[in-house]
Amino acid sequence: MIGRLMSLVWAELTLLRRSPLAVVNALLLPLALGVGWLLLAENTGKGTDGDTTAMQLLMLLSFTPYAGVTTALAARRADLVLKRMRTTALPPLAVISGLAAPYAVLTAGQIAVLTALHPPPRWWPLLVTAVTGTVLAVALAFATAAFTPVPELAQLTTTPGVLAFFGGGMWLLHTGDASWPMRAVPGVPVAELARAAWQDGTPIWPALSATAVLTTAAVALAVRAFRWEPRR
Amino acid sequence: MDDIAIAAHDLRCRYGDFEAVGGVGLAVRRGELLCLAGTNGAGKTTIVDTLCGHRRPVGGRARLLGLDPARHRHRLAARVGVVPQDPGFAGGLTTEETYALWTRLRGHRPHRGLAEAGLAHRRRVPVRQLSGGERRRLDLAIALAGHPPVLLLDEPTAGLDLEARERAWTLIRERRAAGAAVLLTTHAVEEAETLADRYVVVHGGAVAAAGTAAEITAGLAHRITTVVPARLRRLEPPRLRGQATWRELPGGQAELVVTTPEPGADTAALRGWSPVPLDRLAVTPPSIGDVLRRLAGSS
Repeated sequence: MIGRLMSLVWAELTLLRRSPLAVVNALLLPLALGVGWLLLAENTGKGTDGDTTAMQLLMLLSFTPYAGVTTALAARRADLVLKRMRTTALPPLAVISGLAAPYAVLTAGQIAVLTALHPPPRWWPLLVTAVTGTVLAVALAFATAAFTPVPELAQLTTTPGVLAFFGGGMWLLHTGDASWPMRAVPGVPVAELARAAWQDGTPIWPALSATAVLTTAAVALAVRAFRWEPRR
Repeated sequence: MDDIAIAAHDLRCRYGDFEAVGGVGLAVRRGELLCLAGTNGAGKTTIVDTLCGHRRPVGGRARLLGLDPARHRHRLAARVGVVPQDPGFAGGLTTEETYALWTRLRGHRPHRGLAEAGLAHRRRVPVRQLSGGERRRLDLAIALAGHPPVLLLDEPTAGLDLEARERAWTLIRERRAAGAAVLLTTHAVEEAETLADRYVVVHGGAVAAAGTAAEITAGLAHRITTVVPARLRRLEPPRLRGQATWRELPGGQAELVVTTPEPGADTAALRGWSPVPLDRLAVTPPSIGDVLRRLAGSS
């Protein structure tokens, strides 16, 4: 089982590596935007380290595990690869994990690079953010892929999700504190969790709960709407 | 142990309101090759898809090695080799990577399959650069990996050139001889006739005929063809049991085609009628292709 899963992960990583557009979108663009945001924050002197890291994380999550996985899923479905996957010895959850794993690993690497630039005083909230944020982004990607018939349309169908991540973060930066309704926007609880790495004593359970609820909702939507083969 | 490896009983499949398959039954024993023949849109691919477990039938049941394929897809993966109608490969992987990936995902080790399929020289080429026929060969190589006891082959020779087709038929024949149960759909029914033990002919989602080629074609007309001088048309017509048609050929010749249920008697009648020896005389028995042509003509 592990061997088969690793074969799938390796194949997906190979496809990612060989696609210049995917490399730019999933690797270079989020890193460049993250570094750009850091320079902007340092030049303007606005926002705390926590705010900067939160925005960098949201950019990463928007591009790499969210838009990247959505595009990959739409492409594999259009190529009938997903349909074929169902007749393999891998159960659906393993197929999904195998397809998303390279993007998750890439996200982890990008987070490591960006946080190394200015490490937080508390590591564990940042780790929690990375894990829960990636899971939420992948779950949203599966839900979005259900409405993305071809990979070319992914740029369009992921726009609301990217805005929900990025806009949510901006909203939190603007208001300072999050209310419960605000936490319904995916970027808000993720940014809240990331900021907690720099804010000693800040409770993370409201943001963690909101992330869990959003992830569950995205998974439920994906299970209901996701298709393994193109519509006939 | 049950000898029947592939079974469908009163299988019914729908796409919305359209009934694509309406009560099809078939059974394939180990070491047997059953050809699922039919006109375009007859429901062949839907039957194969259902046997693969891609869709649940709305009625009846499908079984592979005694298991419901829709419920036990993953348990069956290593024991069922499938050539789907459409390939389903990521174009960015090479032939070798694709073969290794899908072979491993089916639970087997990659082994010599590319060489057997005649693709060894294309192993480093991205799949998107393969021709349609080469992709088909790759599909067949993956399906045959691990010597599965069940093979579901949907148009395995589509797009293949003559040499590749012969190679594919040889591989399939070897697997059947080794005890695999093979369900095959193909448009090259004339080629499949050298291979198939039995046929199920479907038309409009239902079984139109089933049995051996001899059983299905029994009662259909033979074709007698010969070339004679065109001037013989002016003679009194031969007394035949079948129907004769003429086609003018260059050089004062004509082709005479007789469609008849009694080829022996009509061949003798033609010989007695012609004042000159019959040139290029051939008697062609009815084929599954004739059955399909009749079905296509009837709809």
